Amino acid sequence: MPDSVSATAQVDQSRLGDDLLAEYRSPHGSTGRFDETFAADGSVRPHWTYAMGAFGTLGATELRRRSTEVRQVLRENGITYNVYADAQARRRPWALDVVPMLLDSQEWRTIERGLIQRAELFNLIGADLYGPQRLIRDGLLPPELIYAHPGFLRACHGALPDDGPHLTLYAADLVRGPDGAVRVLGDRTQAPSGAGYALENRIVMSRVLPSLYRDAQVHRVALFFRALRASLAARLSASRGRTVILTPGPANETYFEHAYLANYLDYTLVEAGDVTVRDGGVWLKTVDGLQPVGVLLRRVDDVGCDPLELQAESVLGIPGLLQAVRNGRVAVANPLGSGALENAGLPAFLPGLAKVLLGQDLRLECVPTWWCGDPAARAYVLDRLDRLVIKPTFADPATPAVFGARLSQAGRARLAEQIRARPYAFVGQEQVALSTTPVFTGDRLEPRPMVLRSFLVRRDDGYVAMPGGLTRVAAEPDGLVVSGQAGGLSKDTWILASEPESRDSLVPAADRPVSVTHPAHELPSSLADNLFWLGRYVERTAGGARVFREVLQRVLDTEGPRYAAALSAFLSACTHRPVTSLRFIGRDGTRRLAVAEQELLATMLDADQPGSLRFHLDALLRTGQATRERLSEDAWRAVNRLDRELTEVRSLSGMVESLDGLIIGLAAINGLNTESLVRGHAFRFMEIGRRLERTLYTLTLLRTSCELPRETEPVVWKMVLAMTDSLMTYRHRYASPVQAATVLDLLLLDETNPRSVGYQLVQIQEQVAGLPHRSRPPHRGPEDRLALEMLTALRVADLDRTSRPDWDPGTDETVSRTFADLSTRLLTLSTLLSRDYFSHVEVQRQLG
Amino acid sequence: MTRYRVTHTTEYRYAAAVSQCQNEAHLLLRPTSRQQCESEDLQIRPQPALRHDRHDFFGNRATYFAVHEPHDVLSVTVESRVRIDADSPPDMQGSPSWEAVARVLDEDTSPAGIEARQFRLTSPLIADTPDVAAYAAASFPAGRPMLAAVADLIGRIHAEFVYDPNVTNVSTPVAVVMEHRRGVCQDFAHLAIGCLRSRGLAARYVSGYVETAPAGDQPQLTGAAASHAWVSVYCPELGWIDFDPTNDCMPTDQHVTVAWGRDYGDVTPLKGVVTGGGDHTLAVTVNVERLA
Repeated sequence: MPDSVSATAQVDQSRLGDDLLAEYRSPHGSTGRFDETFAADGSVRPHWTYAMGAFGTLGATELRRRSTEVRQVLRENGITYNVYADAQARRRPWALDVVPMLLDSQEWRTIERGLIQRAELFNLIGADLYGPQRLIRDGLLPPELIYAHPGFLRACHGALPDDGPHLTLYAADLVRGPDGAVRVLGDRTQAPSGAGYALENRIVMSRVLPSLYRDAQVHRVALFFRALRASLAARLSASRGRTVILTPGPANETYFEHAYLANYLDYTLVEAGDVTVRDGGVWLKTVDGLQPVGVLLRRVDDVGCDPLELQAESVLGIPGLLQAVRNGRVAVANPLGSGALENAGLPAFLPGLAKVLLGQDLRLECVPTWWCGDPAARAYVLDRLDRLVIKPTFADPATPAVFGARLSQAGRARLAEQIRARPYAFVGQEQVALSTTPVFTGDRLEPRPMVLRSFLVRRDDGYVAMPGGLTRVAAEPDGLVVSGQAGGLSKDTWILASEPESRDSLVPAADRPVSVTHPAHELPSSLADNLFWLGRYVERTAGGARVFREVLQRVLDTEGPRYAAALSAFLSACTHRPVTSLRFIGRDGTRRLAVAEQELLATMLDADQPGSLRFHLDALLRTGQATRERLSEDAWRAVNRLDRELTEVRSLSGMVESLDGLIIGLAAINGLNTESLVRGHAFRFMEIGRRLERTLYTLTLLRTSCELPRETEPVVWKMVLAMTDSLMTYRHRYASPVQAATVLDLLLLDETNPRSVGYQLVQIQEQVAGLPHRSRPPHRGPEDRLALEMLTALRVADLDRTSRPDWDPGTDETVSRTFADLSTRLLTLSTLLSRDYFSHVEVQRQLG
Repeated sequence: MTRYRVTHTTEYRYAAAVSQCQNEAHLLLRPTSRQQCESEDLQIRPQPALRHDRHDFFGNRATYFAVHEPHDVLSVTVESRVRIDADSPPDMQGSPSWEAVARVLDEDTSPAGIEARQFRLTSPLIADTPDVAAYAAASFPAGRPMLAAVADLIGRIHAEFVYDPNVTNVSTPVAVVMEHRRGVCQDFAHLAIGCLRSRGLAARYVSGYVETAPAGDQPQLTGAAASHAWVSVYCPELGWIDFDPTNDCMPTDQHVTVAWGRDYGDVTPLKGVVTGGGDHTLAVTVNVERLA
């Protein structure tokens, strides 16, 4: 349906009222909260008029449809937020409300000025704390406030570069109280997250509500990312390395954002194992060798960044990083130690610091906060424990904020005791009744408390704020806490321009010359590893699915006892073969096959059983996540879509249907990768993984079938043809009934058949020969030699007698030895690749 | 005046070759009011590709080095010649009461006071636990002169805890030391610091050595075979005063200071991250020889 809202600028109050505003009938008189959309008298605030009119015109039904579209787009794009506590549903789809949060540009200008001043202030405080410490010496900051902070990293003192800002990025959480004033609730200074989600939210909204977005004249957020690029590029000038984003890895809550930003900003995404410190500098390990890193945009917490000098137990960090910073060889944004500024006690001192450091009054107030390290403030807090929020001065997941009002008498007494014992570790903060903003709940708009995270980046002429931000609303209408971990919902944030604005995106502009000779996009070793495994898992899952489908079809299509015996023998032989991943039915699988449908299903779908189909699929999805930045968008969608396969299967016939879908989905991934990936190392590693796994799979089927009793033969060979999608080829090629010799010819030797072992070995040899050389030609590297050996061994294998009528595959040792040798060599190839190209897995340990 | 030659060797032997390592050492002596380093030589084998000396946050001398070549053995030897001029002992009974010291520290904004205040706070290896505070209480009756109270505490730790190298390691928390009443110099130093901080006093961890084979009437001290550790406590009028709970004494001219910090973690003599290597064995020898 076309977007039909643009014509209606008037709010159709009656319609809005009926459809959407049941919850807003007696808006906030009862809650005492400020509502972003409706004034106290029930009228729509001017900057919301246009949008509310549009929503009224759309009506609940259409808004529902658009909400569904939002969810679809988010799911298609694989936008997730990981929830730590929930192992089952760790990757949770990002939740975005169809109604944006609106701010008018006049108010935004005031807020923006305040934010810029605050960022500048934090920048100066940080530079002082890690430099001369004048603020402490002059008594402007009490030593306990800084020195008791676990995030004040003494090892980082003096390690700041002489030039350049302290904070490249700064973020603040903003709230609006009942008085209508916007205040700062908290600061993010070490590795602020959310900017990528804000960008993604914007992209989704502009797609789902195109004409409203266009007509509402919304400030664009892309400028922020250009400023970020420019800022990081400026840090690079001295060192001339590349810029990388350091992520803790796919288990991190905001991993999606790390990968997304890497892609959008065109930086390499790395985990700690991808980089190493050598000769005083930081290097990226790529399949082509070590490449220098000049700037590291980090999403790993301070203390985790260097296990040599900071937190020894960290596996997320780069040993020696801090020394490389001291050497001036790498710039880290934000610098190590900047977490010290995330200090709940600091707000109490900001007005004074603004005067001293900037000669200005603080423009943007904080939510009133009292640091208990100060005796007068402590007395004040202890006196009002029942009204204040008590927070740890130094954020600590183990010590959440406590709402004094909710504590029992005894609880308050205990808290007071803790405060007296370590006063500097606590602050009291006024409890703010957060302002509400409308959320679409499926049939109406409902007011929900909100927090806005704003983002700033340092340009050479000062800070710029993202005109927009990430609005998060509470999961409950009267929620006190707003957080992604607690299951909240996000909103796009629209700053409504008073005048039209030119379009702006990361498309290369004048300040960034277009380079036609693309600098070799180096492939980090771990990414090569993941691509290799993505190739393997796609093939492994497809193989498993084909075996299952064939088995299920036979089970459903009940035939004689002889048939069941063949099936049973086949599955059992496959399952118990050591060099195979097809452990799909477990030990007693054959017996269970005969028993219960549900049990069989459960066996296939058990994510915890290594070798089950679900298990392989999960592994595929994980490697897919980790390689996302190298996949084409469609290939990524194809991967992401697989998440929905194998769910809600309740019967064996349903399973067959689901397997059909799965097999086609997997073929789509292979096809898209083949069609969209440039033939570089990334493609090469995935292709080698894919071919290697397919060879192992086919060899397993062939070996197993050869060893089965002869009377089962025709049925089994037919199954093998089906499991390799070669039945049709066979029928066209051979007039004879299905028998061992011809199947072997087709699936083992025929190098023109894309399903045959011979074909795979040709491909493997070709791709391996194209890998970056470690030895000088004409010498071949070990992988290259091995690939050629395998291909040659198959070509020269003496298999002529297989065509004799009396040939018995079960007793032919040459054949079984050929199978066994090939399988072993394939696994050796995998090990060699891992040693020579993925060696980032080398163990690092601490010396005490 | 006393002069020593201090030789400290650390040797790691690995089961499999280490392909590279990076290390941070606190092995070079810092100058203090009573000690002066006359010469020093730090030998690292294999030869490091990179070495960088700096002063850390506490003013100690820290050394970063990286070995990039494969090796089975890493050996680090430092030889220092040091001159020590013993301070005259402070008047224990004449020091202000411990409560007065704690009160002064609350608002001491002198440069030395501000520096000292960070040593009243908990630190990564020394948590503030109720049983440590309770243990300290007996030595701190109201109004007792601070240094007398500290000496009493140090004496109690020496009397009530057994020196035993087999129950603790570098990461043993104070609570475990309290429970077993056993440990080594580092544990006793941590315990003493925890006790002093629980009374609102500023206490820091000192890493160093004691004389190996004293001549004549000098006492033989415990902890001579390896790095030693003791504590230092701040008194606004007198500055930092050292106490050695392992030997129940106040260091004069038999203790050589290397570095100080909040706890062992700030001044670990040698730490590192190695790549590869498998299991390792560690051998440390220390020799503190009095020179004529």
